[in-house]
Amino acid sequence: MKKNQDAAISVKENRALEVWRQFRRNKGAMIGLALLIVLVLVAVFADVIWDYENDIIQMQIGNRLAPPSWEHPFGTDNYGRDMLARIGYGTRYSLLIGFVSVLIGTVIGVPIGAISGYVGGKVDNVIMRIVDTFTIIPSLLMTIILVSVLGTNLFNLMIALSISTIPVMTRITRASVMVVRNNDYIESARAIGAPTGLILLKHVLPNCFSPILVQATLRVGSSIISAAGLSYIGLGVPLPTPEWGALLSASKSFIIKAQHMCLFPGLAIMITVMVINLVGDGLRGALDPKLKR
Amino acid sequence: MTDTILEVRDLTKYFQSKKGSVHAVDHVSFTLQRGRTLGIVGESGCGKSTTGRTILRLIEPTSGSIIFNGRDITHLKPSEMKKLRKDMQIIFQDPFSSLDPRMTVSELIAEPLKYFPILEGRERVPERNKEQFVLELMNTVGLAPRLYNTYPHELDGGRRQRIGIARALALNPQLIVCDEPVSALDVSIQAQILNLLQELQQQRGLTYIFITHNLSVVNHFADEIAVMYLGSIVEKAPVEELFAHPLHPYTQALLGAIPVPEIRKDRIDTTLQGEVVSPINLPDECRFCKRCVQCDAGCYAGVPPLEEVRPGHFVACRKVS
Amino acid sequence: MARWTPSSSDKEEQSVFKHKQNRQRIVQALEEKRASTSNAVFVEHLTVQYVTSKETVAAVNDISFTLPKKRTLGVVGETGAGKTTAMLSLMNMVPDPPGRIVSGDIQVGGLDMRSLSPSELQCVRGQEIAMIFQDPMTSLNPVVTVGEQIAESVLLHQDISKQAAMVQAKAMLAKVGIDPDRAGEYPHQFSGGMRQRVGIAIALACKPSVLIADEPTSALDVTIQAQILHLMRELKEENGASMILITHDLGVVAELCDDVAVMYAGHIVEYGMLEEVFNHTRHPYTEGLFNSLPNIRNRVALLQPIPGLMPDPSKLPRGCAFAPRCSYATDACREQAPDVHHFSDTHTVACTAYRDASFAIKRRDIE
Repeated sequence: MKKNQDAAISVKENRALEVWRQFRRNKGAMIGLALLIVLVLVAVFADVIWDYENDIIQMQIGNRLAPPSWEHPFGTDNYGRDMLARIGYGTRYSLLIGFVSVLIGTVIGVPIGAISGYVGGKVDNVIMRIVDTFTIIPSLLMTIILVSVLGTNLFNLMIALSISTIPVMTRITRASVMVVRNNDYIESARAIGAPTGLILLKHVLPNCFSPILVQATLRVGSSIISAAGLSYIGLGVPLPTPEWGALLSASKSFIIKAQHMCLFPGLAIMITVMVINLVGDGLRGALDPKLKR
Repeated sequence: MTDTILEVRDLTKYFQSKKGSVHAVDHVSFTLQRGRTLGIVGESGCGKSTTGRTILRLIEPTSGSIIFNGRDITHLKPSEMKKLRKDMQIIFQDPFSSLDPRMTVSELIAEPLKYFPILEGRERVPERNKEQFVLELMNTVGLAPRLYNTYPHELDGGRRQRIGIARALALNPQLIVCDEPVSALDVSIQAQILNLLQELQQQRGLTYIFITHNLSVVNHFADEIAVMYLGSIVEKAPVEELFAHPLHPYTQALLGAIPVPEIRKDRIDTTLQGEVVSPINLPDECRFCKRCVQCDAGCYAGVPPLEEVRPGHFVACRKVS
Repeated sequence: MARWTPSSSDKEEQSVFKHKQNRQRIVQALEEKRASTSNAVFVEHLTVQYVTSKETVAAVNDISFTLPKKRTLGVVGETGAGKTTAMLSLMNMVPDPPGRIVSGDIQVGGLDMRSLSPSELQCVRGQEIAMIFQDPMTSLNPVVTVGEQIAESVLLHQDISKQAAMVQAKAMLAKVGIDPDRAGEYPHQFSGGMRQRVGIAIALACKPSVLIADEPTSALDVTIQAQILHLMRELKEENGASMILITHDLGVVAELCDDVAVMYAGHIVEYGMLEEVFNHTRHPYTEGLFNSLPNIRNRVALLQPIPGLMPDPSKLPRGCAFAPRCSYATDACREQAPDVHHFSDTHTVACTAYRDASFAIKRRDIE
């Protein structure tokens, strides 16, 4: 074996940097990221930009149902409140609900799915039957029941949505784990003496990352929509909190007279979900080392 | 001075499926001396891979015993078995699925050390020495140092297989099961890898179980060959003896079927007819009956036992013994 | 014999019907275009590249060969040598983009393949020239029965009813050694060897004059491989077809082929009759291939592999592509493209070392 003395060891590529560079190439993802940053900033600094009492709650009956203008770019609602401020403030709730519920759902659902998929057999059967019972109940119905029992507020809404996210994340993790488990490199890890827990953490889950991330991203979008839907029917965040679903609900009676009241909240929901999906898709493409070519 | 490193007695593995019992490995027995190579040859579905993995207890045997270095390891507890892992390693067939795509070459080669930080006769390998250790191994298997931080998908099959070999060597094992290590590689790369394996065996006194479907490969490599069909060994002999005097009809058919890169005017057609029978719920008769040209009534009287018909040469066929 | 008419509004059936109507016209047009020749395939100066934004991969570099009727050509080489790309371009099936046939004259049965329109190509593929693929697991449609898959080929090229096509399909199944009653079964119900037989049946269903077999037995066990090779030999003789067999296995070549073309990095480095290439080997790469093969009749202590790897096709070296790995390479070899030497009317070798009239490789001639 000839000793190769010419080439020096190449520097280990910084994975994070590589991911970022790959992400940058996806124009859609970059646009999504930019918009997402804007949304997050709006949500974080909502209290600074607007004063809650004055801008959001204080009624100005004189100016009600005003169409979009320079002073009120999104118009005003039936109480004369500035729609832009209300929608902008509502960003907080949607993003918070979306991300937190999916985060909790993932943190609980992924380990369960991983164990179920890797161990298989009776353990898998038992876990899946339990998950099935949750899946059979339509998630919206379950959320309604939970919220009715526990009370309508932001916290309970997040709990309810987390619970309906868990079965989804469990399923997708289990499916990915079952595919990855069949690869020889898992057996290779066993052959060199790796304990099962470490195999799951180091070899199985990192290779399931992609489908889990994509699913999680989609769930953020559907959580936001579910939250809006629940608020629409009055089971979510109660008025006068300017959550987008609640805003849509309030606009019901004014569809003919003031379209801007339902148009802009609806657009806000749509654009936010779209933006999150774009970013999630870009991340997935950037994270898969094999897709680099 | 040869001594027995591995003894396998009546090793059996049945899988339960919906249709019945799959006889993957059926009463396989053999002895292996240290420093030698046993070739296990057979076509797909004959149970050779399952045999290899069962010996390492990556698959749990249904019955039988495995005696490694004089010690019965068949029923060892997982914690005890883990300690033995450093002595018996495996090289996989598919260089594409046997390496974690998220790990670099160096991480892959160094990984075994994480579970065996203290090796016999060596101090715990400190972090700063790990690089040296990995580079030495890479040199041994013929991987250029500049590949230290590359990912498997950037390399071709031959190089990936070298990574697999380096991984298997990292713990300084005594026995290596090579599960079709060159089948997925190009012809000229195959030769490079085979030569490498042979050199390593001479340098380190390794014992190999070489599993393959390609008899011509094992011709160069093995000291003894066991031919498997539908889970059992049908013939076992030293390699020259097997090639000179193949006795079992299946071995003869196997040898006759291999296309030789020479122009032969005397080509005899010994083409084996029929398909391989499914290994589910096998009846108690010679497994090869349905495809055998010499089969007669006596062959249905049960699975023929493996008998020594010439010195060191065992055959499982009633017509021969 | 009932004439098939479109009775449903099924789009697929309608397009097939239109294809049938046009087919008469196209077949006639093709006959007019056909040049008379005694060669099944004629290729001259074929160059194919894969062009992406990052790089240009030279897959096939200026190859030329002739396949007379009724003969079998073995195209030998390792992965990346360009064999599959070269043969795909015979059927004008190189994926475009990113593949491009940069130049070359490709004639199959006297027809200039590069000048045919897509509908003309559809008529030619399957009828004149057909392909057997490597992997029997993935080359069959898992949701269509095997009988239907064979019949599909027949229906596309002949004006007959579905029932008549199925009769032909069953006959083909019997011919390749499968019970015709199994025509209604799906691919997953067959073993690997039987699936490959189905693949052969599909290829031969329309009795093509040229058959391309792309590593047809690589994925099969050795005893099944023997059966399939035996079958291919029989069918080839029966049909009088010419065959191009792509393989990396010199043993298979010895069993089946009349002529051999050895490919390396997109070039044909040695070309000749079987006897010439095997018993009077001239090119160092061919010699290397023979040396690195474990030969069951000749046990050696250590194999002699060819050191190194095939070059990156996007960065081919100047001069002979094999020079970096060649133990006989001279400076002239590294500087210029290799000379072509003729050792007989049929035996050509691309190797600069033969400028020196006394040069010989180590491999001895076999008488």
